Amino acid sequence: MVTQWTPMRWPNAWKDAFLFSLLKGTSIDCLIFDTKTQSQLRGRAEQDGFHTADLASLPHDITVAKGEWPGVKMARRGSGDISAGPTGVPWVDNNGWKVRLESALHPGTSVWIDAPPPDKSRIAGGSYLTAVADSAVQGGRWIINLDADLAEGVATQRAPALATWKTITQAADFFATHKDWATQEPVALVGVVSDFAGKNEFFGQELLNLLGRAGAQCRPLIKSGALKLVPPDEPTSMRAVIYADSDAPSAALRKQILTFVEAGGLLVASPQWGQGARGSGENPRYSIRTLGKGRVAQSMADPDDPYLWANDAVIMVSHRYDLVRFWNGGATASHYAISPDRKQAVVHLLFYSNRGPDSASVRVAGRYRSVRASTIDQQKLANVELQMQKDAVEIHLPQVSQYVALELEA
Amino acid sequence: MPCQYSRRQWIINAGAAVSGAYLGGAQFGNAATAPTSPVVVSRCQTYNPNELVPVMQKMFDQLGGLDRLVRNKTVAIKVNLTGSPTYRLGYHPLEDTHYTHPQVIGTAVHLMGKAGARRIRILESPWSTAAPVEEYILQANWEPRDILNAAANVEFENTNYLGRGKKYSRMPVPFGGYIFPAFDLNHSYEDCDVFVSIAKMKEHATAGITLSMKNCFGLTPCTIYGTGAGVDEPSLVPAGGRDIVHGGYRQPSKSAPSEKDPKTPRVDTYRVPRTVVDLCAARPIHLSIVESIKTMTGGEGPWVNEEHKLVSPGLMIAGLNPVTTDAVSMALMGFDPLADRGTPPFEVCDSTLRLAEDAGLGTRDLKRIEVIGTPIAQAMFDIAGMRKKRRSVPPPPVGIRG
Repeated sequence: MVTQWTPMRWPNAWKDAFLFSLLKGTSIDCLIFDTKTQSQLRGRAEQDGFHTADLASLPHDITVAKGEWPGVKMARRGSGDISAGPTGVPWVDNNGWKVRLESALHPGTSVWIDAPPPDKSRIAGGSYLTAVADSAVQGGRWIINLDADLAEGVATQRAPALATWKTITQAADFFATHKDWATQEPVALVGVVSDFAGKNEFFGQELLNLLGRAGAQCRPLIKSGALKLVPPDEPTSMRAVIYADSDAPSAALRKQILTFVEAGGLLVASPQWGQGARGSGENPRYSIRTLGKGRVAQSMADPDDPYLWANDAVIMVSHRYDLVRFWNGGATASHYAISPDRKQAVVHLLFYSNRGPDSASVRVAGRYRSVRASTIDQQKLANVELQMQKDAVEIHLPQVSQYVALELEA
Repeated sequence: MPCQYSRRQWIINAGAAVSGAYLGGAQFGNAATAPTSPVVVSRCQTYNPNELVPVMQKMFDQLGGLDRLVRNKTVAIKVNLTGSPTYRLGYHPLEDTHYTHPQVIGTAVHLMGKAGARRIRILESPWSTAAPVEEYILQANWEPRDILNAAANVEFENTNYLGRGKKYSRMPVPFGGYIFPAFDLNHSYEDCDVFVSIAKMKEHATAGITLSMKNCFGLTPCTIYGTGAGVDEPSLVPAGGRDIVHGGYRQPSKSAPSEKDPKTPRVDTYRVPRTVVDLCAARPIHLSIVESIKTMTGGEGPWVNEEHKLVSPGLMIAGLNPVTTDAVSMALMGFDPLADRGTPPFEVCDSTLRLAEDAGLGTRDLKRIEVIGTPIAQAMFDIAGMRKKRRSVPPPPVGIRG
């Protein structure tokens, strides 16, 4: 059984043992103590029934990865400006791809994301909700870590700080209550095949990150293992794999991928994939040829820009196969998971803004007949409208905060 | 009115034109002699093809028939897909509020195909992307095949960059231009025999209104005229909007013609109407269609800082001259097409119609325009009145959250 704790880093400002009472009744059950000065408190925590740990010595079935504080990235020049990508869309840092990657690299472990809030910042409750949900929707856990101002406010019982604290614990509790969602299988449009190590580490990781930013659900496929690729003949099927590693694929790996392509998939490959038949000259960066029912798009140059690759891949797959499509969501992310019998699904929606949207719509690929929307503080949202479309449903949401869970049934 | 000139002749014989006398050089103030052309107004309550197809067929027949205009010709259709496809007015599909409706596009394509068009190219410069137009409209929840299959030999082209061309086409402004003497545009705007503008009837935050002429603001590729345009040469892909045209904080890429006079006001309410007229002169419009079966009030898209509403005027307008078509469309909105700066809808900007009339592109004087079909007085949908009422109170907080 994999360790499934909800971790929190004990704030340095919390010197008093009475503060353990704040955690009573919440799902937070593992406290991280970083400094030797907290050894007495650590002892007291253990007496009170909490698991305690320091990050250097965790149970073997917990993987910790360094993350980024999730949200819209502010420009480095510190002007308060929002940093934007090449097309002006705001950059969003999130850790979902990291949870997926670590889960793939270390199967059978719980993944924790260590991403403290930025120094010297006042973080709103909604941002903490994002931090919790950002990792939890992928089955991971963000190590709850309070900014200094919040920690002090909670310790001194300031009302606004307690309200933020309530948001954090509600969010943690929500995901602890829905541990069953982790048994559902993530749905992805694009798979990234790599060993994500050595020379391939940066590019592979950035592809996962940037595919998500381009709105495409993606899955890391560790090339040393069985890829489990199936023909893309369902609305929720994976449609493409990307091979951008600097070394040529093994014969077995090549066969797995080409079988997928011949059944209708798309392969986006680096020159290292190897020579193939010359493709059409329509794309300035890729030589594209058909293979069976599918296509191989081989880049003409060595991969050097993961942003370009990610966006090229999304276009080559086509938005026709979008799994989740947003309107009026602003900077968004989503995670789509489906039950083994494909009759139920959970689609997690994340809105990376100070306030959630007030008239967002989302289209989910799949033949569903009903939806139930919930948030961390509402078991069932009212005023959710469902429209049936061809091989998809469109859901109109009322005003919501930064996170919504959609439970769909066929 | 038949298209007598090939595309080469349009460029070479700048002094002669089908729909008016474009005068060489900067000769303005031609209102009295600006050409006129009939405009058809039809009621159409829905986008259902059972209603829309016969309505549009009749409109084209009333203008002399599509056959004479498009038979054996390459037709380029500029549509209006302004703003990101992920930005809706509330929950309304974009095509109801601020995009040219795909049924209108598909019907136009179908009827042109039936009339013998050899090739039909649907053009747009989608926001900040070099991706195919098909991908853009898929994100709006459209099915591009519905348009591509509406006739034989139909294709989309993204004109926000070089696209499928080997070079940009230099399109001079025959009357010399207000702001630009010429433009470098995607080849598709030159490689056509007939140019059609299909616009959505809307108000516009900068230009007052956006109709068949303002639709052509999107002809300019952002690789040359946009935020991320190359300084010396065009950038490879577009990024951002047309800030160079709006604000004039710098010149387009040096490979393209610069402004005539960099000392003119660097103000968008001055520059945008003039640039629109320059573009409509450089790339004349043979057929203007303004669709207003449904539209929105308050601006050209939901990002505009005004109160917005989905409305259903139930109108289709078409004409062979963009100025007369836009003048009648303005009147159908409840505005006076003779209005100028200071008068709604041009409270803070110059009138594109007045500037176009002065440049000799067409008349905006309703007394000189024959209206066929439903009279303006019967068809008018009082967007002007709604604007007046709306502006009598402070605007709501900024646009859409999230």
